[in-house]
Amino acid sequence: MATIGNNSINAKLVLLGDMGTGKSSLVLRFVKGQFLEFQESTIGAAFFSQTLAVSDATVKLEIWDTAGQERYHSLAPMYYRGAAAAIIVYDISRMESFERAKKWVQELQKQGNPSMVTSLVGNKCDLEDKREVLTEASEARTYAEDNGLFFMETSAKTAINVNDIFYEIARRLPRAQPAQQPAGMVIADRPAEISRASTCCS
Amino acid sequence: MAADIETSPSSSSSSLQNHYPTIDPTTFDLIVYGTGLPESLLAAAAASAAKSVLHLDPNPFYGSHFTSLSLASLSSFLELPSSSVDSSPLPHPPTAAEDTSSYEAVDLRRLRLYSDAETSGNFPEPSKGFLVDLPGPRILYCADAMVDLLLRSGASHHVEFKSVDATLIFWEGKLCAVPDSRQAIFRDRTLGLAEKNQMMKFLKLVQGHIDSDQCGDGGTVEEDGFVRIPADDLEMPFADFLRSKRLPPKIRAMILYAITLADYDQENAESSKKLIVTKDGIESLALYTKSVARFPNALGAFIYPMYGHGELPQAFCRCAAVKGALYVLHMPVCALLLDKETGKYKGVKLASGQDIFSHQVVMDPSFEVPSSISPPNVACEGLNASSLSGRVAKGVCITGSSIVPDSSNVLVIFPPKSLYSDQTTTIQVLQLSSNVAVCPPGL
Repeated sequence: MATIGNNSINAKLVLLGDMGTGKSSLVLRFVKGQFLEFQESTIGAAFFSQTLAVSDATVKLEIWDTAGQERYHSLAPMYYRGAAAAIIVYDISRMESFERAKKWVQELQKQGNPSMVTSLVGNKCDLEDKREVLTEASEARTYAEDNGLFFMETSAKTAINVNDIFYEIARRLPRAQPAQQPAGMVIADRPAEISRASTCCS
Repeated sequence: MAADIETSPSSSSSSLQNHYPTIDPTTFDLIVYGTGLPESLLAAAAASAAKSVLHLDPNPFYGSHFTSLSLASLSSFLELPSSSVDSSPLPHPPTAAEDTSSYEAVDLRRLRLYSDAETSGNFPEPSKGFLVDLPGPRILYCADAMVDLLLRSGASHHVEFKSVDATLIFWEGKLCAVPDSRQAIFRDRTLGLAEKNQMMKFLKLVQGHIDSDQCGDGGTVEEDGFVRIPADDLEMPFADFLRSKRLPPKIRAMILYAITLADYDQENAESSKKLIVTKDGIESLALYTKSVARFPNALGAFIYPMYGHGELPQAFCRCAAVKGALYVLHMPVCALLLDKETGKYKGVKLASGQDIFSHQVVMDPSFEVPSSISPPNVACEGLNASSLSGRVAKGVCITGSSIVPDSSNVLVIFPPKSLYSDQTTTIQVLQLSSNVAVCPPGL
């Protein structure tokens, strides 16, 4: 959830979308500036943190990847909890992944956080010659507009629009909104985290 | 779900293929069946030891018997599996290749854990907004080994906790607060001065013993002045020990049932099933004292996970997934595959008809391997129907107001005999509020 203090915002961002659409690659491109042609299915990190400076605030995004639990439709409710933003990813060269992205949108709407910033991302836009999902007309952009999502096409490979999508999310996060759920404490033995926990404990 | 699958073999085979996904790869180091807390811990441990893990659950949700369910799912869970699936063999897909393979398929059964379920009144709306812990009422000591494990594994990042605001004990017809620190003992208005002194003296004795334990060697009087409790005393029943320190009955009850959380009557050696000895009692007190001071944001000794205890298995499963474990919910295992010649475990047969192989398998103890076979390389230490004797009665009440004003999360202890004369066990009641997100705001 987005927590606010001194113009700095902490927000959890979750990635959704079918296997092989490039969710992990987008994060790796954004956080580390890397791209691997044959990215392994799992990336071995629970989440990535990245701090962004936008005009009126500092936004610390905690970016959660599915860790492969989406592969057989076994994402835990925990994954969605407290998320302030979501990126739903499909592969523009696979129509099936776009159809599945619509399912993820529904799934997300069921979680019922109306203030969540949600974006639809058509990844692998470098694969123009293999494109199956059209950008304009009755497809992706229209669908996104109808469902209150903001839409971009990206390429983790060439880095097109990757930073833009994360910055746009940071700009759209609500600034002065009461916390959705009462905050609990994150248990921690290290002093640094204790002070962090004390700021988010009501 | 069961009805879908148990159609005639010839007609169902094609629809089955659509219903269940095909798992790839088909060989693993370890298959874990059931996503309860113990299984999830094992999966996380195995995955972080770089084993390839397939983690399955027949239910469409995480946590097995350790889950937290919404009211609507709870009623269907209590009704459906116990009546139709549990006592019968799990649905069995058709397999043409069975005769030619070198494996023997042994059907699994699932034991029913719930004998009786009863509901009254209508579900309050929104029923999705209420979460009920199947393993509840459950709380954690802040210094619990589980909390250490959460921290060490990194699972602690996925779960947030709230303090249990207060522990109350029902004593002589009234609810009394259990003091959680020396200061609280002094402030307490329900205790007399003599009682306070006895309790402080006792706590000092216990603290001295704990400190000397931490110093290491086992002399009776340490150089730094800590006095150990004599070995004979350590083996005697804790209740007798408390009595020998002339603690009044109310304080004894607090220590035994609200701090040590003893389930059975400790004051009556004949009728009690589980008598706590002083050594264990002291350990619990040490755990309690350590818990009170552990986290700066926690008020008392106990904490409760937001969104319920079902978050804990999910957290460990996520740890396992991050380390590469493969997760498939809603995937029943219908049989174990054993080598026809050696009788050794080879793999599992899934409800999809797919065979998956692994070196080892771990199953939720409520899955029963027929006793006719006891493969030499399988440690069958699960439950079995004949050895199940203990029963627990659990109830969930949804109330419109708090037991005590201005408290949201409260543990209430009704010690043995406090409600009626032949009450042999403690009754623990945990009141939870919307600040742990198990019910809609405002309750």
